[in-house]
Amino acid sequence: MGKYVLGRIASALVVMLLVSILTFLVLDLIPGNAAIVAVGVEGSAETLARLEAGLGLDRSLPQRIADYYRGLISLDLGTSSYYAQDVWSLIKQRLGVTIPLALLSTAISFSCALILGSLAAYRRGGLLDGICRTIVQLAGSIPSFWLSLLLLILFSSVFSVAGIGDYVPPSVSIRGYVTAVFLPVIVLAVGQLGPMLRLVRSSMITSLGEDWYASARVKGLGRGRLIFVYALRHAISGPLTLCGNQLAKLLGGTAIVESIFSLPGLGRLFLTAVEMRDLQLVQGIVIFITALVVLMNLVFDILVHLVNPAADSREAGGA
Amino acid sequence: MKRITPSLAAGITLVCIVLIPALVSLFCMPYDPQAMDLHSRFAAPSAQHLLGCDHFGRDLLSRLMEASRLALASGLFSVFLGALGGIILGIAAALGPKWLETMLMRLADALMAFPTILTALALAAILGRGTAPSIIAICVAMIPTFSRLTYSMVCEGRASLYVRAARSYGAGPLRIAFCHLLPSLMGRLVTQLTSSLGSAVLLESSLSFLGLGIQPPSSSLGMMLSEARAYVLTHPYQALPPGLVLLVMVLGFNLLGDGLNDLIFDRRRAVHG
Repeated sequence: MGKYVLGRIASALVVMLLVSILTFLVLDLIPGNAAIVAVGVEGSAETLARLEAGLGLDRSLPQRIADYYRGLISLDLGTSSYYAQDVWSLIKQRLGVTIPLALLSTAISFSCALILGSLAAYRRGGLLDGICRTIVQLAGSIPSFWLSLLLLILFSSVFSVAGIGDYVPPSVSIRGYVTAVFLPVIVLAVGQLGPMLRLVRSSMITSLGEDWYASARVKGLGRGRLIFVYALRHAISGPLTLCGNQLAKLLGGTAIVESIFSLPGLGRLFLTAVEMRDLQLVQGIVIFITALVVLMNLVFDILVHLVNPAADSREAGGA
Repeated sequence: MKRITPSLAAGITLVCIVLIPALVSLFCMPYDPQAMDLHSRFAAPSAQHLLGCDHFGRDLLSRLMEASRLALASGLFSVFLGALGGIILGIAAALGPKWLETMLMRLADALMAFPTILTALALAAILGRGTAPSIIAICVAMIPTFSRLTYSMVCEGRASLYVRAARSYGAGPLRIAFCHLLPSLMGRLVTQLTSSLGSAVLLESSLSFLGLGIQPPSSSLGMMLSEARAYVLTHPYQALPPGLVLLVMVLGFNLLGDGLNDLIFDRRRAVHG
């Protein structure tokens, strides 16, 4: 157990190190540094030099790398040139919007997948199984932005629900918050459902085919209890790993949905950073999301190990 | 027994539905996809304009044909490049020194865990907007899948008898990789290539939806949808045709990938349906 956890932590650190150095080098090597962007074409050489000195860009590469890691450790991700604000505080502000979105949609898709997937596996080849397979294919193929547009048309024009696309924090009005958030949550949940449902179904089929299941049935254990408690527990490690992975991915992967429904979240911040070529902000968000992904995978891998120590976590994947 | 499964048949049908008009658009289109006709702004489908017109009065059918051709072309191109890069890196990791293996595979893990759309967006931030940068961005996003697949298959194949035999009469690692291992992995790679086409098309349309991919006046499915978004409340019909084409395209490639997989690896994936 201890050895396993230590090994996972070590490899997580290696990944963080690789990604952070890679991001730094890529952004450092592209022509046109932050000072040149800020000064613009008309700026004089003196202003440029002053700005470069202010940003520490006139120092040598090893020195800059040292500065960069010193900053990372103290959570100083630099200053955004577009917002003229500290990158870390920008990220923190936006998380309040994105985290509930990610949690809600993951919870919905995970529970739908568990119920549907288990039933489909139990009645393999039946009607529900067919429906599930259709859902897997459709949910995996429908572009999130198209689904968003369709739902927007349906709810705004057909059902005339007002307030979609006007984000209100839940502290101001719960009703307004729910109206603004329920469509994006549905879109995000559908986006995650496909792979999750497929995985739950196939793990459950394996689980239901095992000897202990047959003998438990012979002994007369209730069907519902058998499927949803015993078999599911055996089958859960893969889906749980995927769940962690999806949750982490969502924290940055909501960019398009956030932009369609005008939600001021992390994804939209990233989009703005890309559009404005605010590289410091891009770098900060990339590092932040990588750290989250790595951390989340670590937590879920350890969780899987606790639920089912026999599961081969290497097979389940993840960084 | 090898037979055509329903998903293979459905996949082939759907891909043909978009592929044929896309190919036809090379030779002729009902209208010039860029020609504006302000009299027929938002025209409904009719005998003259089979699918109607957009907000500039451009013929939707012609625009869709051009857009699906561009989507297929950029998808094919980026998946091909990504697969090539991934295969080379995967082989290098499997046959190279230990430190290279650790580094490449950890990096692939990290990239896999990272949202693809963010990888593509971050690259777009660096490379700027346009067709070429978006292809590069998609290609980089595709690399880890292929490098991991190749890596794991080469590692499996490395110990097999025919590779040991080849080594015993003096074949070098490169010869083993490209003449012995790669051909045997082709089936899996082709399957992955097909499924990846679906995600590449989806990714490209997401980028152009955000205005970072193919630039006007060329048409692209994502761009058409983002234009339709502005009129979504007044002219909701505009959002239907491009989205449907995109759905058919992505669904087609996904089903085709699954179908090919069933065909090549008959029983093995029967469970995963």
